[in-house]
Amino acid sequence: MTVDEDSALVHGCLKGSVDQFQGLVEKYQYRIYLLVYGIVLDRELAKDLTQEVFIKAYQSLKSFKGKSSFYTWLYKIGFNLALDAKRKRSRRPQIELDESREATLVGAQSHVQPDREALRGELYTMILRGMEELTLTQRTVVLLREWEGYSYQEIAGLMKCSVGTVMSRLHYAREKLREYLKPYLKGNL
Amino acid sequence: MKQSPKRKLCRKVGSQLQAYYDGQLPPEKAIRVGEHIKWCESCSRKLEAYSQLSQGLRKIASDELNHLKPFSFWPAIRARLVNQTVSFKPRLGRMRLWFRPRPVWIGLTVSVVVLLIIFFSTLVIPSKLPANYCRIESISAPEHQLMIYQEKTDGFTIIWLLE
Repeated sequence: MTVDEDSALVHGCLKGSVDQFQGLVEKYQYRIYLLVYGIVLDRELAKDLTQEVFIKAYQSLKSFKGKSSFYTWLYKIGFNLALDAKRKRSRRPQIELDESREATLVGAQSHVQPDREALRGELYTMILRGMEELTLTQRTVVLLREWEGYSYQEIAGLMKCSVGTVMSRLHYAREKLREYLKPYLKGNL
Repeated sequence: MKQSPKRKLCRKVGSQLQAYYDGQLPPEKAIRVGEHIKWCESCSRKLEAYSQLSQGLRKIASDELNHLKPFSFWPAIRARLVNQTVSFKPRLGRMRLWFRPRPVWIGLTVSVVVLLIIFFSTLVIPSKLPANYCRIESISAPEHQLMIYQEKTDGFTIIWLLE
């Protein structure tokens, strides 16, 4: 679907057809879910918030003027909702460890050398824990770069800051993660 | 203590390493950084760390999506939207906010109406409103047509002269 198709669907929704919104939901639902999950780091909360993002977007459709792409507009709604939700929750470990990841961690604590797959699984788990240690702005800039693949300029536009600020935040976020994950990175990097 | 040229270069390249990794450096600078990391162990290890972090983050994203798919948010969203009455009719917006009924507006309106009634009640058309009472000292010439109303009040005879 192109940007024009997005606009056509928005136009259809504004005429009162709820089902026209389906195309937009199905196109962007997973991206919005990832964005929200990356901020709140809680699967169930991320699912609830993803629904809220689209509900709020539908209710605010009239305010979408088409100056930016529909996804950029949707992203801002998602970002703000996720940020609010994150701030409301108390600071506690948010990482949901599924059974396979927990077993990997337990295995790593034993004296037996964990195998390559186990080490990798542990690294991923620790990356999530490391993300929790970042500030929300640092986390956002990492997610926009690594998950969305946005350029520095695009990130600066979304976060309403300069390219230099984006580079600085990304640099500090990566250094923080690198420091946090030193024991887990291959070759102790 | 003076820094060696190599160390200086390493510091300079180090600040560009991230942009190099993200493919955001101009080509000529990217070539210089590429040459540097061929022999600088410290910078190449940093780059390797960035790579592992990226891979880890991508794997996490992939895991999350695999966990989620083929779940669709649409049925739940649709059910909520259909239950809500979302209207896209034109609204007056801010003006509507200003003119919604408020006690102060109602009070002001009533006051203005009362004042207008009092004001216009003083602008009596002589033929319709009674004059203040007076003693008639003289009556003008018969060519004037007068209508005389009499009313007794408080023991006084009040004559209204209307013309």
